[in-house]
Amino acid sequence: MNSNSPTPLSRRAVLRGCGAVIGLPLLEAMMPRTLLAAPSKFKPLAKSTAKPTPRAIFCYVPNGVNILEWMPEGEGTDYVLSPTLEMLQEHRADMSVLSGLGHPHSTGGHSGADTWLTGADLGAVPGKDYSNTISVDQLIAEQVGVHTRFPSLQLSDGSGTGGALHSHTLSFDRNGTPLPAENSPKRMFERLFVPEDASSREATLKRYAEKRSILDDVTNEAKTLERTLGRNDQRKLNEYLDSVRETELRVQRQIAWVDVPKPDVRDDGLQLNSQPGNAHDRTMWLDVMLEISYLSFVTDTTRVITFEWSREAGGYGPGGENHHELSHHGGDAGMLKKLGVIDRGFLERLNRFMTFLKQTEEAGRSMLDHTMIVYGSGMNSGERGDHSPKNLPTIVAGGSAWGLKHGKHLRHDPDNHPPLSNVLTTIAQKMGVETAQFQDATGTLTGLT
Amino acid sequence: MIPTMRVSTVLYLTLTSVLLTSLNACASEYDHRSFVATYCVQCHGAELSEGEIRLDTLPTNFNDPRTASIWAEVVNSINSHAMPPEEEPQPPVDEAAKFARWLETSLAEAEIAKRSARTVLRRMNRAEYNNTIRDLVGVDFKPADAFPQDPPAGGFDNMGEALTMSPLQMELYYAAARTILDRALVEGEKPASIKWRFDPEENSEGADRYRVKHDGNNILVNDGDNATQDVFTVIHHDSWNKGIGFRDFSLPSEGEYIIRFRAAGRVPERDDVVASARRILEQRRDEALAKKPESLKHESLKHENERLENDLEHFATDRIYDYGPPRIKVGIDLGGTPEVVAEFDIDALESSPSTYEVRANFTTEKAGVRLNYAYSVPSVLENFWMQGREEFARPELLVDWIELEGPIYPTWPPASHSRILWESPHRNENETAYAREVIGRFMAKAYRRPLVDGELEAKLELFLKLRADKPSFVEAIKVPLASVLASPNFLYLAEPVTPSEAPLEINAYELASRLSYFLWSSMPDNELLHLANRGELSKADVLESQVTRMLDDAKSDALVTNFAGQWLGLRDVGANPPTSTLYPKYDRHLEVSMVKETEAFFAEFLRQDLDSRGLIKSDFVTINERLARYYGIPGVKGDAFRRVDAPPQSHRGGLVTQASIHCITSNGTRTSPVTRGVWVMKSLLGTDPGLPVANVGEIPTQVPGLDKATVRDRLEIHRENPACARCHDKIDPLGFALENFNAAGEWRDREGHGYNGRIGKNDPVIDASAKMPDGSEFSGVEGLQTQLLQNEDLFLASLASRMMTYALGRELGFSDRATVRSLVESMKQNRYTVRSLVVAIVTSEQFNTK
Repeated sequence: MNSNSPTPLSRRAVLRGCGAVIGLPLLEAMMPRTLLAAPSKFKPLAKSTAKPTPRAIFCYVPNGVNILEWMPEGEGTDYVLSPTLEMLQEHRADMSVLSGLGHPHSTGGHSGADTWLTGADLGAVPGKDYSNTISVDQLIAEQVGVHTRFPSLQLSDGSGTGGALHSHTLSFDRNGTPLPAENSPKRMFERLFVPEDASSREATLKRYAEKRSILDDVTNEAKTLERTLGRNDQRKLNEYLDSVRETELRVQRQIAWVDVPKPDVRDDGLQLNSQPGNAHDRTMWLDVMLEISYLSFVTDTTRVITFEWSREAGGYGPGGENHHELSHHGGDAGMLKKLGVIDRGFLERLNRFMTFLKQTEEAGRSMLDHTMIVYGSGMNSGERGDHSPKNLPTIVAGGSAWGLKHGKHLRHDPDNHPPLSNVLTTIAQKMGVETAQFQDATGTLTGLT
Repeated sequence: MIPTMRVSTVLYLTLTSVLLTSLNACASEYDHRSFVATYCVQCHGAELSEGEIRLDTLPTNFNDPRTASIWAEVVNSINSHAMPPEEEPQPPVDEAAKFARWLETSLAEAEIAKRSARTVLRRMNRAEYNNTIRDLVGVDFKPADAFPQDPPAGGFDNMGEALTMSPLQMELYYAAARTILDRALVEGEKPASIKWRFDPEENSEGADRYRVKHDGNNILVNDGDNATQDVFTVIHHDSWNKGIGFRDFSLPSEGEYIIRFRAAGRVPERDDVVASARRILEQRRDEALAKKPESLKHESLKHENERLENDLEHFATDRIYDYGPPRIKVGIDLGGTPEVVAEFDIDALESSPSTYEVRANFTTEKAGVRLNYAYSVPSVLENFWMQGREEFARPELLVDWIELEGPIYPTWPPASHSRILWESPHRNENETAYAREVIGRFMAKAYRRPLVDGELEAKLELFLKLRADKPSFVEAIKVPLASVLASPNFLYLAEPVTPSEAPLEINAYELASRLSYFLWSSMPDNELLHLANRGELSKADVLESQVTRMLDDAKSDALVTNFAGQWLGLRDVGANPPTSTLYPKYDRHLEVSMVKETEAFFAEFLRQDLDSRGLIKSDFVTINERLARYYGIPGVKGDAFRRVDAPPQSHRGGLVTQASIHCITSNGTRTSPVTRGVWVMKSLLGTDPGLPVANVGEIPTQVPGLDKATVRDRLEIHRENPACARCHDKIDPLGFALENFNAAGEWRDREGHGYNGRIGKNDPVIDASAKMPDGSEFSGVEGLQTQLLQNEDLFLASLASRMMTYALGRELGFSDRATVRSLVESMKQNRYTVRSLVVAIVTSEQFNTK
């Protein structure tokens, strides 16, 4: 091997240095630098120029947490942060720890991401093995989405939608169809911030006009077809007609954005080449996705984001660990310990993101006061590695400008608790959605406002 | 003789009756009133209606949703032992079970009865969309892979009722239509092509990489930290510094390119492996001895030599050293996103290297091509520390040169273009007339039927409206064609019909579509449409000969992957894979191979017209070299799947012996006899045992008082709880019989309790005996297979109803039961073959009516 190669440390050198012939796993230090992302140099803005407006980001971690090291002691304002939650110590006044909550319809296992924001009973519709309902972010986006170029964003470590019960996305539209998520920081950045070719304005408008002509044409065709069908078939065809109509409305909205330039955002310091599937890049990838989220908020490019940090029953911990395997810990102390490391690694990323928001001044307050964060998992691996849908680890942070009250541990009885949808209802209302109850909610969550 | 016969008859009856209680036991024969009177009415009767629930007068009209919901509550309370309350008299377990079973059956019957027994307007699913575009347009790039997953119902993802439409999907259909047409139709001159060749070993700069100039690109060629021998770069194993390839270039035009390379493999024999391991072990011994004081050397030498011979035993005996040819993984990077394009065996010998080709789609983004070693030698305690040493004998990959050529167009314009824009007399004379021809032909094919009045005119109007805006005819014609691909007549299998009470016969074109989407997951071809046009398709003999023709066509692979894949659960392989520390032999190659084994197995029955009971137990297996090594079956060379006699000691032959099934019924770290039992009941016997009453969590890792608790021991704790035992007593034994197969599908005689699941001498012997609730007994996989064969009617009915569900695109109801029975009868009269089942389905009334 050439000594000039950018490889910092050869494998043999390590072995020689140890003085013993033993097999070593591939250390990160031995990866050629060019292939790997470097730690982020991203710096938040000191001041936001955006008009203060409610925003929400929903962050999901899979496979549950080590609940023994997660649960805080005591409740109310006097609670004591647990070893894991200690990671967020500096933001204690800006966050609430919610325990004992869950979705009553959720069946546990690894389907948590499918229902975390929908609260749906996935088996509720006779004749379907699986059906979902609208997620709270989409309920919000239906209303506030009209004000921004992107009504909402879906981020995940697996692109697309994934499969039923192993969703790669947290967002589901009004028909319960999953909205595909993006996992590439590069593609995401281009979509959000790289300007369209200025000369293509005319072409873009023409493209939209053409799309509308085609939608008109297929609408007519569908109406002709409808007259020849039996009643059940007509019902199915109506799904099609409704979808075309909605698509048409979207085109109209897109046309309205053509003349508004994208915000001027540079990619300086962003590790846009980080790969979610590369164990080494894992931390950098989480960071850059959160940085893009931050940039989307501070430029008012969107107001609603869902972010599935890692997939259920697969995916990696922040250090590339096999997260799923550890979730079947069966009470094993060694595995629980490793789980705790993963949980704290994730919270370290969250902490960094919260600090960005906290440090950015926006209309005399911090941006965190205007931004609501919901962080949690749809599964609880309990004391013995159960995959239970009860007592889900949940944190709500930020948004104090809209009336969220923090600094408390809101403890609930896992066997007799308000539905998790009450939290989602609270967030929806604070986002300006006039809904008394989202899904199976009984109201807002007492103590959070 | 007589006692034996009696035993087997008893077994047959008991297993059948246990499994059938939920399905065939007639719900109305049971009288629930005495149970309710004895155990419920004290609190839920006339005098005291606790929770406002009164059961003595609650009707048994399960069709009424409110009544049904109360009864559902009752069955849950009974099953979870919430009712009757502890302080009240408790019903005997079997009485409670009978009552619960009656309720569950009645509720299920009512639910199914409510469903429509007619096939409903069905949208194409993702696989059907991809195949239809391939056959209609002639471009095969799987555009639907970017669509959301189709929601399954009844275990299949082609059920009309469940295949919904949403605005998002509409957007995706529209976007896909534009992309498809942009790919299919071209303009101008054929794009200039490039052909670059790289010789990684011709690296004279001493580094492991060097630059080469091609067409304005300064390309980085990487030969990795590998030895060079003759013209070859020799890759011994995979590591971050062992990959070879070239990168840092941008291609002049996007399109399909060929990555071509000359390569060969070097495969050490067992003797080579042992010799190389011996050398490495001797070196370790000598190093250890050198550290000992002189006085201890003699004693240590004896000890070290014993240890050496002991360690060598592994290399002399373990099957993992019956090496196959080296494998290669070909990947590309596009704009910083890596993607694996292909992975396969390099089967050419060093004496006669071969040229290999892989096709990949490139854009003009910054790109790279990587070749990596992909043969995995399981990493185990004995070898993990020596695997990476060059002197350790393992398959070696020899690569000479690598080429990149493209974009590839066998003809210009490409066939997809000429298919849509063919040579017609009107082509250069009358644009509008030509547009009419082009649209009409494409549309009729896309709608799978002749056009009706006005359809063509609407599309032509669209063309004329936008023509002036468009720079060319090709650009303008894409608009109406995109509209065709976004229309409901294309996206749905529309079957217009005058509403009526009685089922009506579908027309010949609709029958052609039903046939082709059933057997090919794609649109009908010209022959089917011609037969429909001539009105001959619905004749029984024509249908039968078409089935034969269609099953012989390679397109029927879709029936294997889509039907068999979902019926048996093969899509779940790899979703929760065996953990590598516990199951080091499980790798990507094995995972792919085990899916293909089961597919090839089903395909063998389909193509060779075999007795379908052989799916349960066969005297052959369909495997490749990788699986042969895994299963310990000698004499199979190469990656192709083929039929091989199964030696009896291999314990293989039949679905329940296949690693794919064992993996999907395990949880990654251990077997799950419960999941295995449920799989056997659902997939092979057509019985759904239902969901557990409550979330009971992971089974404990330890059992008090037992030093080495097997999975079976740990499960027994669950079953001590009568609430669990009621169902698990009939589920678990079916899974226990498969306990000789570990969570990765490998045969084992003992359950390992050593380091990383290793099997020690004194570890518990697998107990694969099974005892059903009535006391009947059988043992091991062979015992299970015998049981299943004795219940062939259940198996045949299960296969028939699954396939009929898939064929019709709707779930079956009670009214379909007679047809399922007649399908089974038809199979019995036709040597039990899968083909006879297909023929019986396509000639059934349900398949021909709406």
